[in-house]
This record gives sequence, C-alpha cells and structure tokens, in this order.
Amino acid sequence: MMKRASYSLGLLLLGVSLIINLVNVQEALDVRLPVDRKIGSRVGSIARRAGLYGLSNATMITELEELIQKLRSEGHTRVVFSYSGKHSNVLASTAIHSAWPMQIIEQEMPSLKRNERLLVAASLNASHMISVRPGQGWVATPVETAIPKRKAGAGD
Amino acid sequence: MFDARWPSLVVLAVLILSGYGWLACFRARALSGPERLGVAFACGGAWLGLLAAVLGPFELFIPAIIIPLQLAPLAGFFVGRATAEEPDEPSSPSRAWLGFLPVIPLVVLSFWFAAQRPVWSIDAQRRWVLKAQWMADEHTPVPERMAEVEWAHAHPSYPPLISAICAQALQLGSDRDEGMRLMFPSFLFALLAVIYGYVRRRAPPLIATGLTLLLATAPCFSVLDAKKGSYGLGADSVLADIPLALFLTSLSVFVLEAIGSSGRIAKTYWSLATLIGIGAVLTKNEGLLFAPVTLAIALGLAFFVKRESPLGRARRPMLVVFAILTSTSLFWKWIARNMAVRAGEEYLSAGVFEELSSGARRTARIFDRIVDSLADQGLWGVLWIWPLIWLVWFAIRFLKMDAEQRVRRVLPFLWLSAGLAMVFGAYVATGWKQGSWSKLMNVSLARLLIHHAPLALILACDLFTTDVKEKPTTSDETSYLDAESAIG
Repeated sequence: MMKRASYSLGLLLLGVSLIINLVNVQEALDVRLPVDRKIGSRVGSIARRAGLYGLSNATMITELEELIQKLRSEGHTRVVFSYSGKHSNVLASTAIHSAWPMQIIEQEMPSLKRNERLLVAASLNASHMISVRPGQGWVATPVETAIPKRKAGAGD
Repeated sequence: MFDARWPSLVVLAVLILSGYGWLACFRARALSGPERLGVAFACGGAWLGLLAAVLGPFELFIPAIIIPLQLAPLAGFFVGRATAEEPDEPSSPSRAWLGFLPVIPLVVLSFWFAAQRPVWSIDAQRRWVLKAQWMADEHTPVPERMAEVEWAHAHPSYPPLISAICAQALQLGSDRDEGMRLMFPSFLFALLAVIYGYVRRRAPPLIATGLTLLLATAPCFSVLDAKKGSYGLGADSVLADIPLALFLTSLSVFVLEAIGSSGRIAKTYWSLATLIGIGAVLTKNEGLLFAPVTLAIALGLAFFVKRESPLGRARRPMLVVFAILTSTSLFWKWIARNMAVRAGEEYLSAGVFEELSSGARRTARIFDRIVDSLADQGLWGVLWIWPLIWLVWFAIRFLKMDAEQRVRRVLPFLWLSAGLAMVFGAYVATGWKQGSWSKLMNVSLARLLIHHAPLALILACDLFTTDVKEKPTTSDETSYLDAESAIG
C-alpha cells in the first residue's frame, strides 16, 4: 500500500515535471525559432552567421572571410588580427576558423597608432595586419610598409 | 549542399558500424532498441578517440589506416557467432523503440537546428573545428607547430576525440562548416538512448519514457543555444559538453550494471565501461579527471561492504578499469606534454593548489552562483529537483535497507556530488584571465553542469524501482538483483 502510494506520488511528480519542462521548451523555442527561420534562408552560411551574431553590417563577416581567403591563396602563413571593441572575440574566432592553415595572431592594441601596431605585427613575424579602417572596411596592410618609417625615425 | 554534408554521414555510419562490432566482441546481447544504437555510437566514438590518441603522434591519422582499424571490431560478429551461447534475457527491440518514440521529435528538432546553424560558437571555431582542421592536414592532434605559444588559444592539449570525428569528415571532403553540423545531435540521441535503456531495465516502460523525456526537454540539452553569455548549450552545437555527458553517464550506467551482474554479463558490462570510460577521458579535460574519479569513488565504497557481496566482488574489475582509465589520462597528458597551454588554464598541474588557496575567498559567491544556476528553470526545467526528492526518499528508507543496498544506491548520488564539487573546485582554482572567475562562470557554468546532469535521472529512476528489498528477517537469500529482475 505504502509502496503503491509513493509510486503514484512519484508518477504525479514526473507528470508535473514534464509539463513544466515543456512550458520552458516552448518559451525557449519562441525565442529561438524566429532567429533560426531567418538564418535558415539560403543566403550563404557566412551571412547567416553574421545575422546570428546580430551584427548591424551583415557583410562584415563575409568580407573578413574573403580577405582571409585571399591572403591564404597568396601563400601567407602568419597574419596579425588587430582589434578593439565590440564583437572582437566573435570576429577573431571567425578569422581563426576560416584561416587555417594560415595562422591568425590576435592582438588587442586599442591605444597604439597604426604604425606602432604594424611594428608589433612585424615583431611577431607576421606578413600582414588585418584591421578595420573607417570607410574602407577590412584592410590587410603589409607590415613591411611600417619598417621604412621606423628606419627613418631611427635616423632622425 | 549535399556533397558538403555526405562525408559527415559516412563518418556517422562508420562510427556506428565500428560500435556494433565492439558490441559483438563484448557479446552485449542484453542491449536492444535505441540503447543498442546509442551505445554502438558511443563505442565507435571512443574507439576513434583512442586510435587518434595512439596513432596521431606518429602522424598516422589518415583514412587509409584509421578506417580499416575502426572497422576491425566487426570481426567480433564472427567471433561471437563461433562462441555463441544461450542468448541473454530476450528483449524486444520493437517495444523498446515504441517507448522511445515520444523522444524522437526532440532529437529531430535538434538535427533541424544543427542543419540551420553554422559552426558559430567561439569554442567550436577556435578549438574543436580548428583542431580538426590541423588533424586533417597534419594527421596528428599534436603537431610540433602547435607547441608555439601563439597557438595556446586553440588549446592544442585538449583531448582528441571530438576533433578526430570532425577531422575524419574533413579528410573525406567535408566542408569545415556545413559538414560539421549534422554529427553532433547524434550525441544527444545516444545520451537519451542510454538513459532510456537503463531506466527500462529497472522501472516500468512508462517511467522509462517519462524520465527520458525529462532530460530531452531540459532546455539546455535540446533547444537552448545560449543563456547569460554561455553559448553553444544545445546538442546542435559543435562542442564537447553533451558528448562528455554521454560518455560519463554511460560509464556510470555500465559500472552500476556490472556491479549488479555476475559471470559473462558482468564481463560484458565491465568491457563496455572500460571502452566508454576511455571515450570520456579522451573527450574533454574534465573527463581526463572525472572518468578515473568515477571508478575511484565506486572502488572506495566497495571497501565498506563485505567482500563476498556483489559490490565487494566488483573490487578487482573496478581496480582494473580504474587503472586503465588513469593510464589513458596520463598517456594523453604525456602525448600532449609539449602543446601550448594558456596561462591560468593548466588545471591538472601542481599550480592548482596555489590557486585553490588564493581562491578560497570567493567560495561563498561561487556556491551561490552554482545554486542559482541549478534552480534556473529556463536552463534545466525541473531536472535538479529530482536529486533532492531522492535524498528525502533515501533518508526515509535508510533504516530499511541493508548495508549493500545503502552503498549501491548512494553511489550515483556520490558521483553527482563529486561532479558538482569538481565544478565548484574548478572555479575556485581557476587562474583564467588573471582570475576572472566570475566571467568564466558566465560563459561556462551551464556547460560544465551538463556533464553531470543526467545522473539526476539515474537517481530519479531509483524512486520508481519497485524492488527495495527490506532487511532480511527470514532466510531469504535472494540477491538484490534477482529480486529486481523478478519484479521488473
């Protein structure tokens, strides 16, 4: 009798738990499904990823990947990814994921001037520094462009 | 689109075939229906992980070598046939599948999510798939190149199993994005199937379905992709957390089954526990430690009972499995000894003790955060209430149980407690980003809890196992398991 009562109680608890879980699943789906329907349209996985991150410029990731592919196809093996600000981790991850076998070295250098950042990149034996420039989007600057300035500076 | 994904389907098929081979080698006839398929997948994954760990350092992770070795266990079908004995207790696969049907829509939903979403979470992009790319190209999980400190962010010392699965798909021509997606919900399927099979052997089929659904509907397992900064929770993510939950849960399940069995059946379960335990070790750093700890806890408890009792008799096989899992952990640490490790993330080093002492000040806050997370219905539903109910039930029944029963029933609770304690300890000890433990908890707490959460259902199952044998007052010498199978 006691066993049957406790079994019934357990069954009741299990039923209630399932109902609560289903309500939680429904709430999670309400948030997730609209996003996934949106990114599920056939617009290319890269743009979908950009949408997923909620980036205002959906082409940001596309352009970054295209730039990385270009550098990779040119045979470069080591590039510095200079960043600062929002979404940097997300963008750096995308860069790293799509760059292999080229190596992406992340460097957060918000307070340095452009030429100083290039010098840092040169010290890391990188061939290029990828960064965002206002009005130009993603730019890969060869680090050697910084070296003549350094030499000139040293001569002064 | 299809050609970017077919290699991953081939990889899944090879893993399952290889796993079925192991089930034949181990003569695991008692497993049927979805559980058999799920365990086969887990065994196939564990075997691939072991091959990657052993052959990888020799740069032999290439399809021409790995795939034949993966399929070698299929020879077990012939060996099994030659030494065929009486079958284990007959089980009906069709009935087993019928009870599992309500769970299928949630698994399908997870596959649907996976098909939609690119490989997007930071850990997937920077660690698991990146590692898969270098494994595919350089045929080893530990290339010299990855010893450079600039690669520390990629965690090249992480165990190889997950990346090995992805790398195999890449080697067969898969795309590094679309090709990765469809493989990972398979781990959720296998996890649910293992839970279902375990409960079904102990409780009425309705309970097996109900408890499995309880896990399948825990939002962070099935549908939730992110919460409070923790990304990649659901089974559609290319991450190692649900795979580790599968291996750790299966290890626990097969240790429990082995303790309750004897003769050839016990050998079968110990063999499964060993292979699956190796899978846990080679999936994630947490598994490197927790898989041997699982056996150590069981072994410790076995010394509290009489030597001739079922648990007492299990001491020797437990010791063997413990030794194998510990050796595998140490072996991987040795293989990956030269790989770059990020500052503050060497959890298994001696430095962890320094961190533990300096992190002691934050213990209360860490404890509060963990309790808050466990109570978060949006993450877990009401999964975590079941261990509490079990605790009350166990306290009420405590005096009516004999020593053997107490110890065996408390074992999953101790595993769960140890798992939570380890999560707690990790945050106390972390030196991540100069001790940003709070931020680390934001991004990883739910994922670490996922590793141990299914044990809550193993405890819940105990409540419905209608076989609590009272302390013998007569000459009733029927074993606990006999009573169990007689009633079940």
